[in-house]
Amino acid sequence: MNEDHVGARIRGLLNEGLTLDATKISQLRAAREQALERQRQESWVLIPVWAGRMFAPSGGAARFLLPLVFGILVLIAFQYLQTSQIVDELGELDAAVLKGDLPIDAYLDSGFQSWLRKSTE
Amino acid sequence: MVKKIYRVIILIGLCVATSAWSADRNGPTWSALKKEQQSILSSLESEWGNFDAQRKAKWISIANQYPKMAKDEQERIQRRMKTWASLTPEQRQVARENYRDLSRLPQAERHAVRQKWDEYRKLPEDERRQFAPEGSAVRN
Repeated sequence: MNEDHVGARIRGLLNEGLTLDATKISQLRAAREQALERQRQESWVLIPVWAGRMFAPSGGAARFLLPLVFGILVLIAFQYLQTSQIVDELGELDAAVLKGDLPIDAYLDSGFQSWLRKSTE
Repeated sequence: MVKKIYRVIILIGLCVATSAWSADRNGPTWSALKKEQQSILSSLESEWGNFDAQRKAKWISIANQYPKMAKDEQERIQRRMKTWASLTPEQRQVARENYRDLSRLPQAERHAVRQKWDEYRKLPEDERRQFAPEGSAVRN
């Protein structure tokens, strides 16, 4: 007997009307309340289950989410390192220009640059 | 229900990331600098708020190198800091490139450059202009 058959049979019996004694009615009520209580708990359990699936080594979401998160983190780290390297180099270069013997004007005077080239040739 | 929670979590994450990114984009405020850094960079205090994060980070890097410098180097930095900050990005780039060129000279020639600058400054302005490409800067 398959599930559809059982379902149809129960529907038929219910349509005919049931005459149950008080003990069976109270047993059915208790079973229904138990089932409802379990359903309520399951809906709360769904959140950690969902979170767990996100970070679990297998599972639908993890298959694309983990590499994506990892890729973004690598990109952020790479960009941060690159920027701080550029800033450090620029800081060292500017400090060298500022603390040097030659005044800033000498580096900005294009006449001096070509005069210097000619005089050292 | 779960989808709703998922969306709220993503939204909160985005807000946190955006505010962190935006704080990082503007760089540290003047009051967030260490006392020692503030004292070294004091001549830049009024302009600090206009600097972008990268420019601030560069000055902080200079301030961190400062204690290891010789006294005369520290004095030169203090004297030139404001002038350097007032230059346009293009002028700073020109100065950096010329510094790089000069630092490639042989050591003996490099030492003589300061003397050459004094020599060049003594030339009459007309004579100095002859060496400057047309429309370019001659510093007075």
